Amino acid sequence: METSNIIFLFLAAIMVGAVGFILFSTNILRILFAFALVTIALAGIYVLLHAELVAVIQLMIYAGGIVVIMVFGIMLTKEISEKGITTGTHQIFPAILIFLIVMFGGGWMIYRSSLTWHEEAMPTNVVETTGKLFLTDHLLAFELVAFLLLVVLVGASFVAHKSKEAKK
Amino acid sequence: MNLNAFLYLSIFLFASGLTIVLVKKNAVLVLVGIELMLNAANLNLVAFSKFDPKISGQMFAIFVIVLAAGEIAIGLAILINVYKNYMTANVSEIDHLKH
Repeated sequence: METSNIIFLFLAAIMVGAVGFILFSTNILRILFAFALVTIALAGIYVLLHAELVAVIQLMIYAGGIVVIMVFGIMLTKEISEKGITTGTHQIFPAILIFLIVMFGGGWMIYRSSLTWHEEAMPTNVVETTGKLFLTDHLLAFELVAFLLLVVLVGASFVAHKSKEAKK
Repeated sequence: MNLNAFLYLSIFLFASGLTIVLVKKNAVLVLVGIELMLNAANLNLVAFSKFDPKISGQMFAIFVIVLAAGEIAIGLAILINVYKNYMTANVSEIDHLKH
């Protein structure tokens, strides 16, 4: 068994365990930490796939940014003095049905498909190639994303600010 | 290790994310489910571009991560507004449009 296989199985086991914890736990803060664990394990899997830059971005944005924002969201929408920050569940049986349909339907499709990698020579320096592609092949998308981030910045502060004035 | 291993992991992540969106009552956890589904899509894109000299999948994954970050910022801003209006973040109690 190759080393990369062992690492993949280890990371996949961590991920499956953490996702199972998210599904079955009711403590919101623990669920958010399990989500952070999922994103960190996913960054490890990206490294296995020779996507170092995506792995670093995943760590910075998901584990470093989004989880913190979500914890802030919990803190702002729950009374901390409440006994335990927990959540309930609803629609359990339809959800189990949909989970099984998606999981086994998709798994069956993957099993039946004969997708393989067409092995070609990868660029040796992925980060350099990514930077060059951003400013050549994907320039329009890059600029659009930059503009979208500006819109998100203004829009999020506007949406969060307006209600405060409306309340006064 | 072949491509299918990654695809199976990805479909598991996607199905779990969908289940979390349907099951959890707290709105922040619904956002967690959406993020898991986006992560599943990212895993697919990166796995498919492992031997791509132009790494198109990785570029797409980076754009998807940026969009996910934007989405979570807007989603939480809306959620805080909803909480100020209804004093709850429970998605099954916010049903004023339902008759």
